[in-house]
Amino acid sequence: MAEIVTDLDKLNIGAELGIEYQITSTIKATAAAAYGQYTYSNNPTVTLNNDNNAALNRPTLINIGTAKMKDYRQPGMPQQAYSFGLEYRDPKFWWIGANVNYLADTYIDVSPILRTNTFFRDPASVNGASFPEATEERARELLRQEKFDSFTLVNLVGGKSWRVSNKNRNTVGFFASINNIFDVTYKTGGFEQARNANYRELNQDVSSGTPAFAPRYFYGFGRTYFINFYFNF
Amino acid sequence: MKTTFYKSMLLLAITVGTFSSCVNDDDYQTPTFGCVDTSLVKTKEVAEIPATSTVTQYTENDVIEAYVVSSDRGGNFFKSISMQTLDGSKAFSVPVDIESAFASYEPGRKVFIKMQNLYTDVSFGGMRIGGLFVSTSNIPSVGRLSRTQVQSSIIKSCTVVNEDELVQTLSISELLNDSNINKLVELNAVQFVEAALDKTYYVEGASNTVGGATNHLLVDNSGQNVIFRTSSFAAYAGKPVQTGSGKIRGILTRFNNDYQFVARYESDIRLDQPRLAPPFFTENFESLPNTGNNIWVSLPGWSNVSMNGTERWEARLFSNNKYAQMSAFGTNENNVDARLITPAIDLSQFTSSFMRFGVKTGFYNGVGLTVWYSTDYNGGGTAGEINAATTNFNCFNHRYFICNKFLWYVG
Repeated sequence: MAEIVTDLDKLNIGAELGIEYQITSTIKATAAAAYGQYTYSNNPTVTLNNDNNAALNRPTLINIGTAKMKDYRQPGMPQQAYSFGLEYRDPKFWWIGANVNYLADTYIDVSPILRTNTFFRDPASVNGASFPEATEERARELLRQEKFDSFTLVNLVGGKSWRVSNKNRNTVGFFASINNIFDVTYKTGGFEQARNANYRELNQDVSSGTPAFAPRYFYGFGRTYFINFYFNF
Repeated sequence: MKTTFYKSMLLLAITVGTFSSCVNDDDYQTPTFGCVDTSLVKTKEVAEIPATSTVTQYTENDVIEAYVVSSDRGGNFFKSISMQTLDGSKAFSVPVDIESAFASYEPGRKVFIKMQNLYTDVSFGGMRIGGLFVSTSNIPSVGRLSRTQVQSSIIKSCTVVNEDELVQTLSISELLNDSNINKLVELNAVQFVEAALDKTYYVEGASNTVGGATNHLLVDNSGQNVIFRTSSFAAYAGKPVQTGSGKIRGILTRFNNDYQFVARYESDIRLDQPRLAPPFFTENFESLPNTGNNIWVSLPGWSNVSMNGTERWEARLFSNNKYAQMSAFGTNENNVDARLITPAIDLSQFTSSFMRFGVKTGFYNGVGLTVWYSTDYNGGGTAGEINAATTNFNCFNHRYFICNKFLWYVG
């Protein structure tokens, strides 16, 4: 079973700003800001491809109509990002820097099939009748796009180098960084599972308190360490 | 780059961001919710569709409208939908080969039926509209519409009316008529007979369980009864029979000569009132100790008197049932006149009362049975004392009538 989404338009609006400022001869500050609103701007068509039908001599492509995707946010990236960093470069050939990053407005990847008219259709009916218990308000709750919590990451970076000989410019040094010093747990993305393809299944799964087909999330790394040694000759 | 260029770029970016359409998290839409109505309109009334016991195909391109009244949600109906007109004048059933028909056609929903190439007939008094089924012995009858036929011929509208607009309240005697088959009816002031009270709605292997369903009897306070049928597949089949009196809603059906009242779900059975007052005088003759030829009926307070001979009412037994029998057969008497008289019954506390008795007559070449009442018979038990009493009215051979202030039912 494959889901094919066609004719989906996207609209990306935003502003980004970056500044670098040398405070003293050894201390430099950098800052960046990005604010965006990346959405889907129309309702696409959803088609299902059912391979099993090929063996049964039935058409494999089933058009299930338009999905109400307009004005949902695009998934996959934080739509607000702010960063501030400080770096100190010592004349004795070592340097250290830290930056703090605030990332927000990351949204989950919504499932188009849940936003088609088949969402309300009772599969037991022969004439496309809706589930009798379906209400507009509960449907809006169920179809709300999940926004992930915003998070702040602090990174540390630094290095030192030594001249090896006086006769030439050979240097040896290292570069090290610690990312996410405070070991913050954060989601970078995720997607809604389309296994509960209609109102009743989704409602029952969610209401059970222990959903069997909850959205899948991707998490960022915790504290990571990196060190690099180099020899220039 | 000059500072002014940076500044104007920044200003432009900010302006564009502010004045473009801002989308907030609540702006999403849900899929289309709600019913899309059909454009069909009826071209004929249900009453104009002919149906006889012979299966006939309807060839004209007509559309009728009707309202669904039955439901298979409770398990008591299976692959058949009963429908009636809004005014309750006509009803019919549609056999369908779909499960959970209630998900598509629920009680109260208006449907349009495209009659072209469907078949009609009348089966056990009830009109049917459906497909054609030919049995293995080549006998045609109306059969189940296939799923695709249902989808193309039975079109639901977006109108659903409250059941209370479709239901009719009838008494049991008003109910028992072929014209009520497939209609949604509510019986009021009815209760289950004593024999049903300690049973469940469906009883496996009971004598009144036939064809996968149990027939319990409902009675009202006129003594009329009707079969209440519950399938083994009903959701409430294993529930104990409600013991009170009150209302029951259901669909009338018929099988052979038996009318059957079929509820749809347990909520149709609302016997929440106390039981109806039992008769203040009953006699079922089961207390007669012996039965047979010349075993006269002798009950305390009763008179069993021959007016002109020796033959009197005999106590008889057939198929586990005792009864009083009067027969001139083999007596060699002419104009046999024997009176079976109840003890005195005090009616002074009632403003109206009725008597109901069961009777079977046959092989008579005169007046078979006459029913009288008397207010001045002394109970003496001789022909002379009986002749001295004033006998009032002579009402028999009527099914239902009013004599004086009494209602006499024969059934």
